[in-house]
Amino acid sequence: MPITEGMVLAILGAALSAGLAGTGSSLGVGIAGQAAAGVTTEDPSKFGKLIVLQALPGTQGIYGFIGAFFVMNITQLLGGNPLPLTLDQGWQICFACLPIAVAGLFSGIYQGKVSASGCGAVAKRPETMGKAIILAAMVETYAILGLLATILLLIGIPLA
Amino acid sequence: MPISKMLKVHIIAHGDRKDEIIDTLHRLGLVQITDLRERLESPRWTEMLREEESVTTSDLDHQVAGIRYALDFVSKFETTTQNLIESFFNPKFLVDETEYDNTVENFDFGLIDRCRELDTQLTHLRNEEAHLYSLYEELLPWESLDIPLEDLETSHTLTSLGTVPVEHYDALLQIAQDYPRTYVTTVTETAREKFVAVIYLKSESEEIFKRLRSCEFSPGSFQGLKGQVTDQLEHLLNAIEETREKREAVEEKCTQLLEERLPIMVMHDHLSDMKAKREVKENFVRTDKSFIIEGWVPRRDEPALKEGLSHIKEVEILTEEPEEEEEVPVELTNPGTIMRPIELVTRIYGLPHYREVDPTRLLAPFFVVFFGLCLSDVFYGVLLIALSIFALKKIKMGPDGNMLFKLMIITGFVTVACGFLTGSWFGNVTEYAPGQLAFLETLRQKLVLINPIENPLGMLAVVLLMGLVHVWFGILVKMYMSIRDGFYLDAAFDQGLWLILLPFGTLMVLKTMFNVNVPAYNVITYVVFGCLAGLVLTQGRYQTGGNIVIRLFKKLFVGVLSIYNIFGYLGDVLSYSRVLALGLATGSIAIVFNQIISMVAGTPYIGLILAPILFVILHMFNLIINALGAFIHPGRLQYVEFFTKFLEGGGEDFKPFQFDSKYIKVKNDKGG
Repeated sequence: MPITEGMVLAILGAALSAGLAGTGSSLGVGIAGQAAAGVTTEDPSKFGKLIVLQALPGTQGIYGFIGAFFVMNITQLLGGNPLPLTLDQGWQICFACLPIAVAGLFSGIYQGKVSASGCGAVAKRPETMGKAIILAAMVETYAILGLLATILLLIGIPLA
Repeated sequence: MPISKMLKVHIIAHGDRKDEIIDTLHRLGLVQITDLRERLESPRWTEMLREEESVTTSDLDHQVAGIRYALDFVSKFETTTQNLIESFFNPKFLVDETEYDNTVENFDFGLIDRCRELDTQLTHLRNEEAHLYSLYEELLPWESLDIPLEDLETSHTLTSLGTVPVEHYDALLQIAQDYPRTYVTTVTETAREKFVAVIYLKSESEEIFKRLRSCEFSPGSFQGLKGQVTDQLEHLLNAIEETREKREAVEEKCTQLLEERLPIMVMHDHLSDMKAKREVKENFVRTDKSFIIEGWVPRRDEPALKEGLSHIKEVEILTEEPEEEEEVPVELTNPGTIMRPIELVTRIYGLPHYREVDPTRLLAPFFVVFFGLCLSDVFYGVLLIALSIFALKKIKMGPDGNMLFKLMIITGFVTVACGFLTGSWFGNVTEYAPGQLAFLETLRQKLVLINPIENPLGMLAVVLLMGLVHVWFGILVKMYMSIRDGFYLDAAFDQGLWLILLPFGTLMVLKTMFNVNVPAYNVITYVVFGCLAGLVLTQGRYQTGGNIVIRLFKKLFVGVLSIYNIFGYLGDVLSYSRVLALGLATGSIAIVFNQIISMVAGTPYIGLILAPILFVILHMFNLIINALGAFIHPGRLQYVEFFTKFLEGGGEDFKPFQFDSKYIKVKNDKGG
């Protein structure tokens, strides 16, 4: 089956979903990692706690990947027998990917900042670990909602 | 009620009995002692009492500081690293009582001085080594120079050794042209610099210097060096080697000191404890002959306290109920193998207030079910249980870590159950099962109640309904608290109306927006509008001020405004959709991983080796990442969506006066 123009747009959507959300995560994990490395030089024994804090902004990348996976799934790209998508369907899929792409990009960065502050809190008072994690998780909410919106939209698009 | 009832206790005794009483209280570990000095500000107390004289703790402070220094110093030479999980929980070292007493008795404080001495030696040797090495580096480019260094100056000539930037090399050669009796030679070069020797007449030295400066010649320093450069280099190398050996010898001594680390830790905790004991004395107030201690004791421990102090003469112990508005320390006592670990979830948020309720039991079913739905995979649940049991058996973690892994066992079982119901077994691994195992796939499909990947909307409805129940239950708890504390109107209007409105309103929304067939729809409409009217009429009842018209208007306005809370509850309930998203994340990532693994397995020869390795790595990764999310997000649902309905929190932890250690744990319950 030849790849149609519609499929090109669907692939763009999947690429944005995994790419932008992944960018958000890598920026976030990077920001948190710098703070964590700083604390590690002072007190290497906190490494175990810090690595958890650093990993927190990493989930946006996973959500973006799931978005891309759903696109590949509904368009049967994965099966090696892609649907002949029309241009309209292609645009619909592409736009449906935007919630997780955009929310993932920005929430990843800001979650990284909160995680970095959390590293600072753990450096001074290790017992605040649980609270630092919860504060960072507050930011993640919007990436989760973005993913949910993307998935529900994708499922709603009629593909013959 | 899992929040212990506390009694305020006053201990009044003769001044001579002070040390005896403090030691006893310390051993019993039942009482949290309050600082009484702030009471001295109230005139009722100042008339008869005065502040206990401040105890000098300075020599003790000094010793603690020394010990801490020694511990830091010695710890730097620790080479065996803790594994990641141990470092996460910082377990304490177990010491038995005799060992503890021996250490305290025989501890040699000379150890601190030895640490200081070694530290100084080490710093000195390290500096020396760095210095020699930089000399060596400086001299190394001149290795091929074959003039002895003392011959750089003869009776008529001078030799300047130094570097010029490559771009000025031509200008340097020009000097040799302009002064015929000057000789320039390149000893060695790098990409940016040339190392040159310039030989010239002493009589021309001034002009030559000027010219050299103008082509950015920077002279090297070889003062006091003699002989061939190669000899010098060898000499330096020997010196470096010698210092290194010395340094390593000192480091070896330091590493030997590691054996003293445990005694140092014991001393640290012992001295800190002594310090705490002394400081507690400053919290007392006294009259001429007697003194008074104030504190908190759990009611169940009151007899034990009286019994424990009964051997001391001339002591009066008075207990009383806490006053109405008083801050009382909070102790949670959740019994059992299930509630104790779940208490961890409450503790992460912080303790409830003394007069609130302990939310542990209330959140328990919701937390474990949400966790199970977020991870929702049969094998991940089994793995979680197995890994937790392994961790509990093999890794030293201290009480917090133990509680966490016990909690993981509980949630692991729920995860298995949720895995069956959502049809996730390492994602869809059973689809790859070979012929004789194909029954697993049939079994999987038979057990499925709702598969979130195939029917996300159905699953969304399920989790939102659970969210509604959770929020509703939160309001119910608040209603219980209102009734308990005698606020019957609040219970009826602030909570009761919402408790009716939420379920009936949901039914109405289902009918109007989703065309769901709802029986007795008329009745439901009446109930909903009745509740709304009730809210408008009652929510402004605490508004006061102004004349009757203004007051009425204010009451009505606040009443109407309270309807806006509907959107608050709506947002709360929608927040539970994260449970679906996280469940989908676990399942779909597992499916993708399985696909990758099956592709790898198809590769001839290496596929069969790589596939199992990949299987373990990828699924472990998915388990860890998603278990983290499955802990955090259900936790958040408790803290943000559930607790806000009935809990303020901010309770202060009950910290009885007892042996409190940082590094070690004494067996046989030393000091209580």
